[in-house]
Amino acid sequence: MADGAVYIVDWETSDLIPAHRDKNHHELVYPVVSRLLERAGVRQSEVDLLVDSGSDFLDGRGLSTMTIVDALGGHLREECKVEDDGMWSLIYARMRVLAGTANLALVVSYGKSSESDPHWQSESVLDPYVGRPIGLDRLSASALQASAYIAASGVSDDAAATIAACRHQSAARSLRTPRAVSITEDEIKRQEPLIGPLRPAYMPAVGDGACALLLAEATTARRLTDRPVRIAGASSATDTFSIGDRDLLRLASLRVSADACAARAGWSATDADVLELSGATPFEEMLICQALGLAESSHADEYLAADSARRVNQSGGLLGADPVLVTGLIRTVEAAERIRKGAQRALAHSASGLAMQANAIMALEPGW
Amino acid sequence: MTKPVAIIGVGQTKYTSRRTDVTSAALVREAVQGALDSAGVRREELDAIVLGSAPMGFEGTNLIEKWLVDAAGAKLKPYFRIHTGGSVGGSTGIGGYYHVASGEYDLVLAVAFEKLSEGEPQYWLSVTYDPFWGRDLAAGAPGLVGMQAHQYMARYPDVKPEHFAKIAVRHRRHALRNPHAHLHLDLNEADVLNAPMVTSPLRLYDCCPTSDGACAILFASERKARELSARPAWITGAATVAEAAFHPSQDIAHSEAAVQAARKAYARAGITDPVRDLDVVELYDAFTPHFLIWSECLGLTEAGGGADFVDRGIGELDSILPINPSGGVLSSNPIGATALIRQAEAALQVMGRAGERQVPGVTRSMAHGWGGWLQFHTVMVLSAEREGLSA
Repeated sequence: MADGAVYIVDWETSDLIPAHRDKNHHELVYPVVSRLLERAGVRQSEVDLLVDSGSDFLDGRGLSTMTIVDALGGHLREECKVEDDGMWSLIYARMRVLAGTANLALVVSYGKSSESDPHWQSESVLDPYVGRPIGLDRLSASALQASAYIAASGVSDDAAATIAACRHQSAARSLRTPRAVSITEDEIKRQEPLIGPLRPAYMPAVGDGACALLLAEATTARRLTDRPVRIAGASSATDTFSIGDRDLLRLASLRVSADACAARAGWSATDADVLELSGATPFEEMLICQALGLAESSHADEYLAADSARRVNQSGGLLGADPVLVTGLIRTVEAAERIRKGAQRALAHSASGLAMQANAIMALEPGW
Repeated sequence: MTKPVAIIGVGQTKYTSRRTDVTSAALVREAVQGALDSAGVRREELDAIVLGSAPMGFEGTNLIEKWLVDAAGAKLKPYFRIHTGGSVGGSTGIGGYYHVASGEYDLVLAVAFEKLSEGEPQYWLSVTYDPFWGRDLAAGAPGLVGMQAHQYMARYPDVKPEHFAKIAVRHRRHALRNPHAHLHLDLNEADVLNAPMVTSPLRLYDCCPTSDGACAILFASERKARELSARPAWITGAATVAEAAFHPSQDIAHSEAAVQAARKAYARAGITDPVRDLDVVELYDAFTPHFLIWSECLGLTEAGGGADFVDRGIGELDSILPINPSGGVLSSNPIGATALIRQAEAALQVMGRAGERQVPGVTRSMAHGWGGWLQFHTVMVLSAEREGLSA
């Protein structure tokens, strides 16, 4: 530990598409990990630690890591699985590098939503006694939250359409999301909402994907790259479970984690050049922006609609591609890429649970 | 560098077949409150929480930590769930340890639980296997361990069912002193050797029970440990090592992941001769043959020394190295919590707070966890002294 900081050395992703039909889980993840290690010039045996994100429910397995841990790079390595979005795995791997027992850590996340049923995936998050019989899922919870937001703050559908069109256009240009297609505001407005107020183009592009990332302490990072990205701060928080017990418009868990992250990094969202946010709909993006202090609650729609410099979600965000369990790690990779291209402060965000019950956030800076 | 970390509190429910009086959340809450009370800490003082549970199919709820957030005392705090199968309790405790060892947090709670009465554990253990070429062979945990035991017995013909029976009797006898233990059985070797066969060579009493229960451990930075505890249990070494489920050089009778986990944790703790340096061990003895096999992998006896290890009575409470004074996994097995219970019991021994099952004069202890297809192993070394032994 030369300076007590942790650096992202390099990363690799699969194509983020609706379905990798020609690949099983191993075939999706193994090439991603291999390409990353090869490009970084690292042998698997030189990796001190693997922290991985996989989901039993998504994979249809009792213990999803059991037969895939070798493809993830974990054979005879220190390893641990965090069963949530990859950003939580990254947060845990960072702790172990900070503690000094791992100099080089691999973080891998994968998911094949195409082999599962997204409704069942998120409905089964509800408790079996009270919540599940209602039949709420991720999208209907998000739609309720959006309706409450519109009622309370008057954010507009016009702005949502502008934001959504921008995201789809960005994704259509991105090499990482080769199946994404452009759609205009007018086309969006002609769509009937599937779950009011959410039109199809406002929905996350749930699909398949894998992402791997190498973390290192300073000396190791210097040896492996001349373009490291420094993790200046990271935090997460989870709000209470029941949607009825939460202030859905405040996103208290995001506020708490953003404050903790800013305290460590020395800067906050308002200082960031780049923000990659895990909003599953334009309304979620607005709620995240107001919780991060980027705009007043009732003006977050205008703030995002007017974001012509594409400070937020230049990648296309979750509307471009939402590989469940990988999405937050993809946000980190997109933010890190922008740092390599000259940005000075980038913020990556992940959300988990219904109506963004849990949030994680990470502040990135150029390595040196 | 690694910041010093100590365990200052432990909470355990009673382990039992069926807790029909509580939800998973209420079960978790019992253990969390127990750990907080044992250290005189309020929930509000916690900086972060780690939750562990084994396959979510056991309880049938996806992302179950989201439901359990309030019960875990984690509302609006850093919090995530670890899942490494049967070893998850070990990985969760080590997750709590790393929160503090990183220097980012001062007081961190690790809690793990299982409510096996609400699910079909052997079904879910069978669907861990590959759907295309693994499931036809899948037979829950006993099927796998039966094969492992036969491999071990074929290699070392001096290993007999009588050795397994001795462990079945001994660990149940130890459990009689542990009020939390699920099984309180007063057995003799004939009972074990004449019990119904589950999966050859495993008979009924060679197998662990399936239990409901939860366990929680409170981890503290040096400053907090000195403020809150007169005799904390310092963690001087920890490791979580994985092995591929299937690989050409695999030896199911000798887990390389267990060997390496022990090697790493001992090196960090300065342990060079575990039998001499450790005063008590909590081993993941889900089935009696594991006592011999894991003892070998963890360096407590040499390769092939398992039968002799049992014959010499090592592991008895009055022997050179008492093993599983708690009664072990053979006496209580809420799977998600099981390896955390090993760490909790190892900590209580160092803290001098193990009640009737206290081994006198414990300075250093070790806790082991096993999960997956014989492939995930965790080892934690605890000590009454902040520093590990200098090699």
